[in-house]
Amino acid sequence: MTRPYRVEEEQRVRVLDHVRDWARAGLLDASQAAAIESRIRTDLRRTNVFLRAGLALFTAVIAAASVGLVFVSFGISGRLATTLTFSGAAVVCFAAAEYLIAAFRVYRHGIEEACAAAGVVLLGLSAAAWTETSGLPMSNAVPFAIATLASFWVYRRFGFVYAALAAMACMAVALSELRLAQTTQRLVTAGAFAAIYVVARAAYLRHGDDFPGDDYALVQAAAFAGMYLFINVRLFDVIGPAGAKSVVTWFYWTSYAGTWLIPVGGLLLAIRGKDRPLLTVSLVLAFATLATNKPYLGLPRESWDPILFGVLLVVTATVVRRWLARGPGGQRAGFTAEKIFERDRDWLRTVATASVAWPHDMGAARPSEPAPSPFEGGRSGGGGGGAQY
Amino acid sequence: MTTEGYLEEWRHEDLITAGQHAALLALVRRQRFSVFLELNGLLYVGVAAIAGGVAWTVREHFASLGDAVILVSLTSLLAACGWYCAAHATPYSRDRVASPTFSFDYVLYLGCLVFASELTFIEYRFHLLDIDWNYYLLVSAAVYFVAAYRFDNRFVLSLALSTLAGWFGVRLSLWGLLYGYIHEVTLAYGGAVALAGGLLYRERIKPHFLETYLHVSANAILFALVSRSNDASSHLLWLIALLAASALTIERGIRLHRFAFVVYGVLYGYVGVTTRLLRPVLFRSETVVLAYFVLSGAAVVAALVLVARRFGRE
Repeated sequence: MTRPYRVEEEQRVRVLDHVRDWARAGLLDASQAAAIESRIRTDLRRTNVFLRAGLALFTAVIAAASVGLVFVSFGISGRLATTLTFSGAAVVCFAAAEYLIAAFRVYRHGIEEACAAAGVVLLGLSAAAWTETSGLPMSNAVPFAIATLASFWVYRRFGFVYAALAAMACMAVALSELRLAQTTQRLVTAGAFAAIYVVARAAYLRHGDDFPGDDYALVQAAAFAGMYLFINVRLFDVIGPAGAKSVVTWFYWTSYAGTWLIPVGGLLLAIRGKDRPLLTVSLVLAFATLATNKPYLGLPRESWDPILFGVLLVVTATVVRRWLARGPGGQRAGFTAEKIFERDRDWLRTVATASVAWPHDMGAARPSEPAPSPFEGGRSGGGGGGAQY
Repeated sequence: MTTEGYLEEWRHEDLITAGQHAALLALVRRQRFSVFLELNGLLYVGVAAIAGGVAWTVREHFASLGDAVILVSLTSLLAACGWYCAAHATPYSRDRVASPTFSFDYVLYLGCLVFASELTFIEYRFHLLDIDWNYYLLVSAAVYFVAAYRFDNRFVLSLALSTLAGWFGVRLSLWGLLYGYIHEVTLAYGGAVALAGGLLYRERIKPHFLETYLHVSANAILFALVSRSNDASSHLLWLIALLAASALTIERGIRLHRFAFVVYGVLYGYVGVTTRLLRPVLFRSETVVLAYFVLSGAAVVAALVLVARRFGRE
């Protein structure tokens, strides 16, 4: 599919980001970075990430209010009119995204992204309006199926990676609306994610880390996480009520093995290929496996489980760091625990600042019920008579 | 062209040296791959899990374990963290100081979290301060501030700021006169944080911490002003104060190229003005409300595009 941006332009954008990282890390001096930047700069208009978010938010407000205004002003109601209005609004949104890119050469600027995203949502709403009263079997799946296709089109057309992730999420919801048995549904959905993973991985291996390979690496990692999400039947037990009642026994225990094999496999692949998105996802999945192990085995959770988990993580990080540091030149097989890019430090700073908002509840250690006093009920003195006396 | 292709081209054109070419090529080919962030992530999650588990265990099992066991365990853990930090600490400096060891920052953070758990347990069991228990928050915040500045630790600084926020909330509402005036309490907290951050920055004491102070104070002040100006009975002056604070935040954000502050100013200002303007017509005229969102949204987008083009271009 043709994109509004040339491949060469997008490659230059990525290389420009690398150059800035290298300059901040001291690998290039300022004059070199400036000279290189002037050579690879494109006419694409990009902006700061916070302004991008702000622009996206307010563009979404405009899109939502505009559609609402059309409905209210023209008194639109009824199935056909609603469907056509939503569809028409979706087309307008997609056209607006195309126009903004063609006329102003915006690239990840927030406005065109919000227009495209609004188009997807409106198409989904259009399908929902049409199928709501249609009485078609599995009609709830149709809006999500349409949203899946629309998101995937947006990803292919504009290259927004999060549109690919949204397509996968919509696909999972659409499959969940097919009213299949739990086991079948989990198998089908995990299989779909596995198929996406295989396709994205093949594309990533073909292109490497250069654009569009970097995008495929993210899609691949997301599909890998999606596969795990539907294999692990105890995942939501950690945060909510038990949800593994309706799967058959063979699937339950096979999935238990899968919850261990998937993160381990992911870690091995990520380490072998030095694939950062897959490495991050596999680590998170490994945490999830450790957290769901006891629920899987039907064992009661203990209050010291988080302590053991935390100690395991701290010891693992410390041992790996020391092992890498003792290698020749502070690295082993190309892995180093040293910081290379300043953006790693930026991430830590951001997390540290954002941690102001984490709940640091001083009452967390407050005992849940008062301890019985040794003097209550005459347990001491008076012959040691119990409370019942 | 691939990144390797560009490197080759720059080398031939003498834009980079042979040494730089080799170093950058090693990064591009992933012959040198840093797991710094991943290992830090493991440590942070690990420390948070340990601290959470300690608090949970104390809460659930204090009756069976007994006060002595809990106090000795928590004190031992706290002492171990303190000993580690004292043994590995580098001399104090007003400027940024690199962490002396890989896990140093996280050991200090764990120590602070355990300290909080121990204080809570002591007060619950022995009622040393009783009704004045909020002083624990103040003392904890002071301890965290000292630790954050002594060891240059942003995680502990954030802990100090959130604990101080807790003290403000509790203490000021306990005064009775201010009971119910949560907006004013938040405003006072935001002002105090901004003042402290500004003074410390002016004295050049850990000036790199300033941004953390400003993020916290900007959100606290703007949130308080939005909430206050949205009260049905509130005076118009609150809205004017909100607009002034938003304008100042936006201006400072643009001038210093800290665009997060521009977005804070725009968002809080927009919410404050919108709520005030739409309150009389809400539920009466959908057309007016929706038209307002279209027009005001377009105005904000136009303004942000202008800022993005003139100041925020990447």
